[in-house]
Order: sequence, then structure tokens, then C-alpha cells
Amino acid sequence: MPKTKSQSFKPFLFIAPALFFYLAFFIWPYIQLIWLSLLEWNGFGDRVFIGFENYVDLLDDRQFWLSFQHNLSWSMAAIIIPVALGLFLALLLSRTPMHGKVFFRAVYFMPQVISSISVAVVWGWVYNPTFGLLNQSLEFLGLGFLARGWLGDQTFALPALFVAWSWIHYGFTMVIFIAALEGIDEVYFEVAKIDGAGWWQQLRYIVIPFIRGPMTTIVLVTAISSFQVFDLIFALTNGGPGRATIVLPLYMLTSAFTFHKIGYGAAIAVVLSMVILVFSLVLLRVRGSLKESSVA
Amino acid sequence: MRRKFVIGMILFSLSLLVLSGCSTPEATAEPTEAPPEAPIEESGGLSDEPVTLTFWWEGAAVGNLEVFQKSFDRFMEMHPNVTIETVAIPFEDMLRTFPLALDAGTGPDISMSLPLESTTYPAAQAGHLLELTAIGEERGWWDKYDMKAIEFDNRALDGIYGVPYEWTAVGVFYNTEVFSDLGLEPPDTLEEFEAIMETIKQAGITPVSVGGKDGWPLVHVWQQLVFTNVEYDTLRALEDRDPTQSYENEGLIEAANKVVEWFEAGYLDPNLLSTGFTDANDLFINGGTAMNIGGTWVQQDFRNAPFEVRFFPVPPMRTDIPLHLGGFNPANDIVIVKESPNVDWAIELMDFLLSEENMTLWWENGFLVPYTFDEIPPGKDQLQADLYTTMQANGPGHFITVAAPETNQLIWANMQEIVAQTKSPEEAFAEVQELYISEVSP
Amino acid sequence: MPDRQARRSRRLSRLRSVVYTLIAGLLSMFVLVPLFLVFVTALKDRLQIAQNPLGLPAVYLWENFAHAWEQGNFGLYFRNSIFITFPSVVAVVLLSLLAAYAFAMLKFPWKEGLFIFFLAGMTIPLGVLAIPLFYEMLDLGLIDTHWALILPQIGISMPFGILLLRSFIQDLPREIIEAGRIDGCSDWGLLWQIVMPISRPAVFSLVIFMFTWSWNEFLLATVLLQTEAARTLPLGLNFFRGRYSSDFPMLMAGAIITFIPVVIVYVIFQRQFIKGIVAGSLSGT
Repeated sequence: MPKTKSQSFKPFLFIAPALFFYLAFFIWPYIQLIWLSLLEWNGFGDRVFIGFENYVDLLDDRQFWLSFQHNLSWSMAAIIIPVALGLFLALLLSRTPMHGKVFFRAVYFMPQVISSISVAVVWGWVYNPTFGLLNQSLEFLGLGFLARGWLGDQTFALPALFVAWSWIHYGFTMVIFIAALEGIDEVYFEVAKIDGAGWWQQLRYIVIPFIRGPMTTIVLVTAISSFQVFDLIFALTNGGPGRATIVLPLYMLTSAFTFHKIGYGAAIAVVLSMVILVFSLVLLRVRGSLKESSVA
Repeated sequence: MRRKFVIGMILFSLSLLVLSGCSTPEATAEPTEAPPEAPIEESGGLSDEPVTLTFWWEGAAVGNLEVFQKSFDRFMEMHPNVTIETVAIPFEDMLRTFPLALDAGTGPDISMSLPLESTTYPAAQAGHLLELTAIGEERGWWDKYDMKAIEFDNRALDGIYGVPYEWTAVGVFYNTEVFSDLGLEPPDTLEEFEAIMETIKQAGITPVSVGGKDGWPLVHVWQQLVFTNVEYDTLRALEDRDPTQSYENEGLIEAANKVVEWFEAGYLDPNLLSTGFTDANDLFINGGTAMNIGGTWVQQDFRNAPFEVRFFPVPPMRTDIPLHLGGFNPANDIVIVKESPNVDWAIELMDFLLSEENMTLWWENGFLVPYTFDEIPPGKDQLQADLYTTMQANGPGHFITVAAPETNQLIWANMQEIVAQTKSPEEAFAEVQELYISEVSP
Repeated sequence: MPDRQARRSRRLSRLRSVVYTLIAGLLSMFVLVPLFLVFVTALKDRLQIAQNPLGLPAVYLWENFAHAWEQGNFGLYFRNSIFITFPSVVAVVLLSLLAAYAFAMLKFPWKEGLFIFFLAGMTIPLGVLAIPLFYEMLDLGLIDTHWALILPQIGISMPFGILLLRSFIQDLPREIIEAGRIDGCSDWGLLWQIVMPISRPAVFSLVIFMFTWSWNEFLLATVLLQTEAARTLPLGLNFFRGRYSSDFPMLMAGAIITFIPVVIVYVIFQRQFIKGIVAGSLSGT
């Protein structure tokens, strides 16, 4: 009897510290966030409970929808471009005879560890209209007519930022794909070769089914981090020119702390977290159904 | 108290880890970081105890701060126990950080603050700033100070919270070497100004640098034209958040069209949308452009240029209305943070900054101080003389856009779009008007 | 005849390997060239940048680094970054190890429910909590201290840390655990003497994850740290960038100062780094 009692008590001792931090500095602020989003509050005056009014206001806030739209297109691009690039490099680096695989892996992955503000500084220089690497290289190649102030151009600013962001992230997708590809048993390929399957068929019938699981992880992780994109944009364009690069995290902070609309900023944050949640659930559901169909 | 509780909890949960169940426990690493130092509580008062005053400076341009540093050095010489630390914070960061830091009690002791709704009003309304009327009367601060400047910056408040350190003006800073090489003289009319820009352009030099990437410097170009194209009362009403006024005003739109015209003609830096405020100043100082449209807050930086810089106002669009100069108004406020543990020393520093001795020092270094000298001391240079003359010849013109923070930032963004021609001025100002109304009369 | 064929195919495969290496090398230029030019730019003066933007410096100005270090106050930022990152990493590893052990090895009521409760946290990004965390830290009087970043970082990392370590511990060979039990070890003993040492790869990958996240954290830092004295490296670099926005040698020197320690750590540990990240992400599915 005493043994089982201590047994049922002790596990909670193991979990308690983790639970404490998780509750106090994560769950509690999230509850606070939801509460704040129901208030009208300028940060110092009275807190007025206004129900869902902030959310209703969001519905016809053009700036909000614009930010939302930028976030969506950013995330769509994010789950395609760095993922595809990573897959391509992984195919190149994992199952082919070549030299210096380890070296190349390390190089491609390197931007992932560099702080995004450093990356912003580097890319701010790359895109500088007069001294920038990009325009200088275009000049050098005789393509000077393509040169422009990349980050000051309504059309190119967001894609230019996205390129900088992809530069950070493709290494991550690549490394995980490599791991997945190397986990495939060589036997499958031997058999395929005997059957006379070409490169495309091998990809279609062996590689793709095997990397479906890791692919979901990569897409999920990439999507979550792409929805929160902030550092690069904050440092490089701060939402401009015009509002060409404004995104939800940026609008959230500006609303709350520059415009002193704490409740409104909190509502934006809640919406952002809901979008991420829904996206994750949809993705997991899609994977679930894919799994079932592949079993069937 | 609660802080101790939190830290206690952490230490408790970590100490659980060193307990072990069998034989020799493996040593577990424990963070040995000492709790961050508590802020040193000063008892205040004018004792000889060492005191550190923190002063926040608004702006990425630090030339003017160097003049402040001279004042601080003098003060520290008079009071050897006082150390003044200055921190320069860029404009946009200041807008966000200053109110937050005051709320958190991590703000400065004495600081620069952006006038009106930008930071002084919210900070004063939140009760973070020291009301200065009585202290100033007692110490004679207001005797020779230009009260117009003080009234202007505190007009919606119940007292004096911010004291502006100079009169600012916005206009054209020009490279005298380029002007004399090309035989150019400061213009009196807009046509002459455009002819000057054309000549400079023909000579292969970009005429005007503008930090359009940051939004607000571009708005200044437009605003210079606005104040000579729209009746002053209308603009003043917009600045005073009058909901019966409208941004969908012909005069505002004409001025915006003029900016576009200049941009298209190649008079403004073709890369202005990817050139930030500091970049544009540097471009001008390094001879990349012949002129810069900016404000007196960069005057000291321009004095450091390898050539002489002088000033003229943007000539008027319309000559039938009285002259007012956009951006001609009191500069940033100096404010004292009420919660500062060193508030007595902050008052003492303010006392020095507003003294005749310091006003003379500032004047001699080129600031256009709002102070009535019995006898005007010798000035700094021609640049100061140009600014002084301009201020005598024009009525004040303020910054119409600072009335409402959100409207303000929308104007920044929309002016960029107007110049990039992704939005017509009509569309842009219709959108601004919609937001303005919702912001000033919710 | 078969001999010649074998030789031909060997030559062919060697040729292919050279071609692949070349392609990979070419692609790696996208990473290496900008970084190389960042170094080159940091060693020039502004005149050289205007005249010879892409070439090697005529004179190598190593003092640019010293100048940036002083002007940018990077020594202070470095210290702050270290004081925030190290306690966060250590605490996350220890606390997730404890909880993961319980979830993997022990039986107790509501185990499933609790685990799902932790997992739910994976979908909430830390950035959205910036606003409430500001007010929470304000109430606790911790704004502008290292704790303001350490505590939330520990909180949000629990789901990931527990998930990562639990799946590793679950897959450990049962015999080892049983042997430990027979030796009379309690759960504490088992955890520290047996499980922890053999879980080293998973712990290492968690350390790496936490280290990069914490070292590079920016959004929360902009809200929770306000004064110069509290700034971390990314924050400090951002202010530095505002001030020297067109002084490229200074800017690049500042960027290098900020990223070089992480890059050095990375170059030394890159194998474990990549292995760790792979393990973490794959088990995260």
C-alpha cells in the first residue's frame, strides 16, 4: 500500500517544475492575452471590458487584412520554396556519389544559426541601391538596367525579404530531408534498378512515399515559423514602403505599443495564434488521411 | 517581493534536482547566475553621494547631442558627484520604448520627449512626468524663456510638462561649394528653386536627398509645400484634431502632386524609397547630393560636413497667403520623469539647462534657443543666421501630422505610395481622412 | 570485355561524382560568397567601398573591429546574451529531462491528459505572448532584467523539450533500466545515473536547439528589455544598425561580432548540430 501511494505521488514531483514554468510563463500569459483582447485599454488608464468589439473592428480594418494577406502569401511561399529547395539539395547530397558531402551540408545549414538581425544587416547591404552586392553584381554582369532599390520597391520589397528569409531556412529543410533519405533501405533501389525503373519512377514510388512523414514535420515547422516572421521585416523595412511588407506580428506590436491600443494588439495576437492552430490541425488531418490511404 | 518569490521558486525547483536516489549522485550543473542587480536606490536630495542621471536622446542623428554633452560636462564639473549617462534612441524606437519604459519604471531620469501626442502627452497623462510650473516659477525658469514655445508644446495639458530646447525649422540644407561652382543663389520663388534643381541635375549631381524609406522625412518635403499652399487655420485645426476638418483637401493633394513631379523629374534622389533618414544625411554630407530637405535636429551633423552647409526655406507654392514654415515650431521637449529616484538632481540639471549660462552656450553652438537675451551673444555661423532670418520672416508651421499617431503613420506610408505611384493622392488622402475621423472622434 | 566495361562504368561514376560536387560547390557559393564579402567589406574603409565594392581591400583595416566593438558597446551585449542564454538552456534541459522521464517511465493518473496539455503549447508561438508577458513581468518587477527573458523561454520550451526527450527515453532498451532497478536504484538514481548518460545525444540536440533560439531571440527582447544596460546582442546590433546605417564597414564588423561566436560553435560541433536537429525534428512528428 505505501509503495503504490508513493509511486502515484512521485511522478508529479518529476513533472511539477516543468509544469510550474509552463503554467506561469506560458499558459497564464496566454489566458491574459485572451482577457486583454476583450478590453479597451491604453496601457495606463482604466480597463474597459468591451466583449468582442476588438475582433469586430478587425473585420473592417484594411491594415489588418493587408497584414493577413502578406502573412498568408509569405507562408504559402515558405512551405513551397525553401522546402522544394531543401528537397532538391538533399537529393543531390544524399544518394549520389560525390566529394565533401559533410562539408556542403555544414555550409548550407550555416545561415540557420546566424541571428536574424545579423542576417538583416547582411541583406540590407546586399539590397542597398548604391553600394549593394546585388546591384553591383548586376552592373558587373552588364545587367545594370535590372538594378533598383530593392527594399524601397512596392513590388519587390516583400519578395526580397522572402529571399533573405529563405536563405536562412532552406538549410534546415535540407538537413531533415537528408536524414529521411538516408533512412531508406538500399534494397528498394536495388530492386527498382533491376525492374528498370528510371530516376523519376524511383523518386515517385520510393522516395516520395518514404519522406511523407518528415515532409509534414518540415511543412509544419516552416509554416509556424513563417507566420511569426518579424525580425527581418522589422529591421529591414519596418512594414514599408507604403505598407508593402506589413505582417501581423509587426502590426500587433505597433497597435499595442505605438498606438497604445493594448486590447486591439492582443486581439491580433489571438487571431494569429488561431490561424497557426487551424493550419497545424488541417495539416495533421491531411497527413492522417494520407496515412490511411497509403495503408489501404 | 514577488520577484523574490519567483526567484525562490526557481531555486527551489532546481534544488530538487540535486537529490538523488542511489549511491553517488552525478553532479548536476546549476545555473550560477547571480540575480540581476537591483537598481541602486538613491535617497535623492542634493547630497554629495555619487549619483548617476540617465538622459535619453531621441534620434539617430547625434550631432545635436554633442552640444548637449558640452552642457552635461559643464554640469558634472560643477557637481563632481553627478554622472550623466546619455543614450541615443532612434525616432521609431523612441515612440514605442519611451512609454513602455516609463510604465515599467526602467525609463530615464530626465529625457528628450517627442512633443504632443507622440510621447509627451501620453506620458504626462499616464502620470509619469513631473509638472514643472511651480518649480519653474520658484527658480525663475520662465522669466526670460519664450513662453510661446512652452505653451505650444503643452497646450492640451493641465500644466507644463515639457520644455522645448530650441525652435526647429525644416527646409533646404545646401552644399555651398556646389552652389558656388554652378553659380547658384538661394531661390525666392518656387520656379527659381525648380530651375536650381534642374541645373544641378544637368551638372550630373542628384539635387536633393530625402530619407524616404523611413516615411516621415518624405512627409516633411510634402509638408513644406503644404504650409505655403493651404490656409494656416485649416492646418492648425487638423493638428488640433478637429473632426470637422478634412485631409481630402485640394491644397494637400496639389502639394503631393508637386512632390511626385519633382521625383519624376529626377530632382529628388531616385532611390529615396530605399534610403533611410541617416543614409540620406550621410549621402548629403559625403557630397552625393547638393541638397537635403530636413530639419534643424541634424544641423550639427551637417556642420561636420567637409564643406559649408547653409539653409533656405522651400519657396511658397502660393504667394497670396501669409507665410508659414512647415516644421517651424518648438523642438523636442526636455521632461523630468516623476518616478525617478534622482528627481531632485534632475531638477537641478534642468535648472542648469535653462540658465542664461547654458542658453548662451547653446546659442553659441548654433541652437535657435527660445530665450530672450538682454543682448544677443555672437552667433555660431552663417547657417544659424540663415535659420534665424527664416524664422523671423515666417509664421510657425508645426507638423500637422503628429495630431493622431495612427493617422500620422498612415500618412507616412501613403506618401511613399504616392511617390511610388501605386496610389493616387486622391485615394491616399481619402483613406487618411477615414482613419483620421475614426481616430479623433471614436 | 567485362573488365573494360567495369572500368568504363567506374570512370563514368567518377565523372558523375565530379559533376555533382561541382553543382553542390556552385550552390554553396550562395552562402559563402555573401559571407566572404561581408568580411571583406568589414576590412575596408568607405572610400574603398565606393571605388571597389566587390574587390579585395587595398589596405586591411583590422581596427574596424575594435572600433565597432567600442562604439557598439558589444562587450555589454555579449555578457547579457550569455547571462540569458546559459541559465535558460540549463533549466530547460534539466526540467524537461525530469518531466520526460516521468512521462516515459512512470505510471500515474492523468498522464495522457497532462502530456496532451503540454503538447498543445507547441502551436502557440512565443511572439504572440509579447503583450501579456510585458504586463506579467511588469507586475513581477522583472522588466529589463535577464529573468524577463529567461522565465518565458523556459516556459515555452517545455513542450518541445519534453516531447524530444520523452520519445528518446521511451526507445531506450528496457534491459538497462531493469538492471538499474535490480541494483536498487530509485527513480532519481535511475534518471541521473543511467538514463541521463545514455540520453546524451538527445540532450545534446536539445541544448543546441535552445542555444540558437535563446541566443537569437529578438521580438520578446524588444518588448521586455528597454535600456541600453539590458540589451542582448541582436537588440544591440539592431540599434547599432540604426545609427551606422550607411557606414558599411562598421555595420559588417558589428554583424560579424554578433554571429561569429555562434558560427565558431557551429563549425566545431556541426556534425552533432545537424544530427541533433534531425533527431529533434523527426521525433517531433
